[in-house]
Amino acid sequence: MPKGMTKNKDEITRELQELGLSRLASQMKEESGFGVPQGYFDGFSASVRQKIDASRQKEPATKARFFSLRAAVSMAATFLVLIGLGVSFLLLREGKEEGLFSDFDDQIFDEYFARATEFDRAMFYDLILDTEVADSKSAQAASQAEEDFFVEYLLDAAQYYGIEPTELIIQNGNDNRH
Amino acid sequence: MVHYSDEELLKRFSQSDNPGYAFDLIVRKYQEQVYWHIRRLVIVHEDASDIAQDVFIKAWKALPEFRGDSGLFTWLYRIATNEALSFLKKKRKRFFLPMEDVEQQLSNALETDAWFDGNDIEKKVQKAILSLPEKQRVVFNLRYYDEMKYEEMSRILDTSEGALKASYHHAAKKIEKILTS
Repeated sequence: MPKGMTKNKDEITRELQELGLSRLASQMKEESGFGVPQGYFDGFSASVRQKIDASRQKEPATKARFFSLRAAVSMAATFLVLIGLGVSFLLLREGKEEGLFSDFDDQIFDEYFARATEFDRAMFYDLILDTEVADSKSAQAASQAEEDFFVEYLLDAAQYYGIEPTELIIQNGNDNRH
Repeated sequence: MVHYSDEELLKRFSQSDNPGYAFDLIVRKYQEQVYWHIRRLVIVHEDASDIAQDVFIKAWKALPEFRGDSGLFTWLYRIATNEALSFLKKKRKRFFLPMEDVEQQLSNALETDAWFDGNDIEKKVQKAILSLPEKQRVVFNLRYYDEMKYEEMSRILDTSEGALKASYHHAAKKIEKILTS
């Protein structure tokens, strides 16, 4: 179980009680519920040491290979891009002369509009109705997320402008006493 | 085990012939606090274990340049917080998940994790904490579980004490509301 610094426990409990948060204050005495395998921390430093030794042995070889691999990949990529540019330039020229691309575009648009006319109206209404139901369900969650976002924004802004957000704290404290 | 102060440990690390031994003492001194801080953020033991080890590996690499402006404890907590948050961020990006889905995954992990044996109330508290935005979760955990002073938190998170207080109060009220609903 976590080894906390118990010196502040009373202060934190008192703070929660002053805020009127009795459930959280009473829960302070409890554990968090997390556990670890038996003897886990006895072997922790050895695992760290092992990983450090492994990374030290690997480092020079990996670096050398990484650089050569990176150089090879960049050369190959540059080569491919150059070939690609050349081929597309040739194709564009050829296509322009023979109307290759304009014919292709016409085909795509014809097919798209043919499918659009077959659009099922019932499915369209279903979509609207589903959205309305989903909206009503998620409205509460969304308003909470907005509130969180707003609070985070205020705190960040206060931090940026060097203002202590004491008014926000007082406001919070007063709200809770009702 | 003899308990050395941070200054003694740093001195041993930089001046002795065997910095590995001094670092081992540093790991032993802070391993549990670092692990639990990460665990409360990422929930799953295996993930927390990997991240905690990475934190100390990073610390080992950066320790020769550590100037000691912030305390060792503050420095390690800062690395741990960054590593845990970046793990969650990577998880979200890797699976193209919105934030809520990651929270839901973590919440589900509480049910399946073999190393979580909390009762119903503890489970409810943890799920309520998971419903908080990431920053508020960090602030809440540091205050509520690590029982940290705002002053210490301010050094770790590089945020003013007033902002941390407001953030903690907001988070605590939200959790209380969930617990009493």
